[in-house]
Amino acid sequence: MQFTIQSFSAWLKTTEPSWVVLHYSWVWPAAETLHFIGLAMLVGVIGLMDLRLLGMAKRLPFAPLHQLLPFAISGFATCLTTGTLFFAGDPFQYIHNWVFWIKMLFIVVAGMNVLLFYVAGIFRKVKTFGTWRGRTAWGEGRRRRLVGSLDWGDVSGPDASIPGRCVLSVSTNAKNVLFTLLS
Amino acid sequence: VIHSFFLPYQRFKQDAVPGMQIEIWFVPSRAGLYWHFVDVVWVFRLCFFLSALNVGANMDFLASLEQSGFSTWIRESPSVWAYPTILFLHTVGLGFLVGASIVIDLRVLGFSPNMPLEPMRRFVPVMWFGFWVNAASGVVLLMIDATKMLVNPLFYIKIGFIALAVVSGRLIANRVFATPVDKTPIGATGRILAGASLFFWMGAITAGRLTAYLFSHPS
Repeated sequence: MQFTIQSFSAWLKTTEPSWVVLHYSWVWPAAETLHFIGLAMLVGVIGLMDLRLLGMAKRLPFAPLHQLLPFAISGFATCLTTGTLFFAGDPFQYIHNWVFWIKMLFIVVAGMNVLLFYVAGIFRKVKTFGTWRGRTAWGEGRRRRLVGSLDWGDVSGPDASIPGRCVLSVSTNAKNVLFTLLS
Repeated sequence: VIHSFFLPYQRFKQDAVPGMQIEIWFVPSRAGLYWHFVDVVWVFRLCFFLSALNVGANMDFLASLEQSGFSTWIRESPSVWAYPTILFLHTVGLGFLVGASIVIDLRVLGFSPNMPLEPMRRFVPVMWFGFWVNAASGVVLLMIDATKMLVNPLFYIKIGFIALAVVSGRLIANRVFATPVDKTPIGATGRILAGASLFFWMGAITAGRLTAYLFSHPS
């Protein structure tokens, strides 16, 4: 295993992108800047979705917030691209750093979390949150818009709490921790 | 060398030669607040001036700040609670503050138009939390690197961008977090503010990152 990663890193150092990253002095700072901008986009959209699912801003419907997902995806793509550049430029700085591997682990866990969110039907349950026919949040009743008023009122009784309500949120925090520890 | 005096919004340009006096005149035909390139240059000059000011006057003070026991521990301790934690807090704060700003700006710019703005008011405390986490961790990061950061014009440019971003964020909040706004379309001013806010945050991140690379010569 160690040998594979070593030889892969050694091969990576011989490639064109690796040379470009280290040869032009502006590539690394530019990639770092983009890495942070991508992080802000990713954590902004996903973080607000997490906070919404955790029960903040209950009058905000979840579905339109979820429409901003392409920005989170492009933020992640930016981070992935620039992150790959860092690794290609100086792989040996990373492969001997245990924090780097924990970061990778957390990103994989976060990815599985996202997968679970869509595959396990959680998204189907939460996408009506905050609308006239959905509930406001986990463990809360449905809400009905009172005619002729801007007020919202909780109408029916409490709902059984659904396991995994914090699932999405854990991923973001974990990613945050590791992005920082590495930078 | 030929210099040039240029006010693009006034469609006015006059070349100049050192030592030669030239009279110029123009008639403004429309009132308004214009951001001239000249102003931007002066803002940047101010940033360089502030950084130069510290080189002359406060170097001993900055050095003592940097060499204090606390600064040295944060900077040099192998403990994960020293530098890594401070940097971690600074990134978390950035995620909260800039992330939430980006979402609100995107909404104001017209993305996801079905999202009501008024309930998003609840995220404002989250943004202030991010702001104060970053202010506190930023002060520590500044202390441990005072002789480099405070003489770096990019640091002042970063602070300027943050100030502009916070001001435009507050203007946006005053404009869009009132309940009736969801009934009326957002005007051009709101959109310009949202675009400016995005630009200022990108500028703050860029300037902040570049402090580590440009003008970072040991003095």
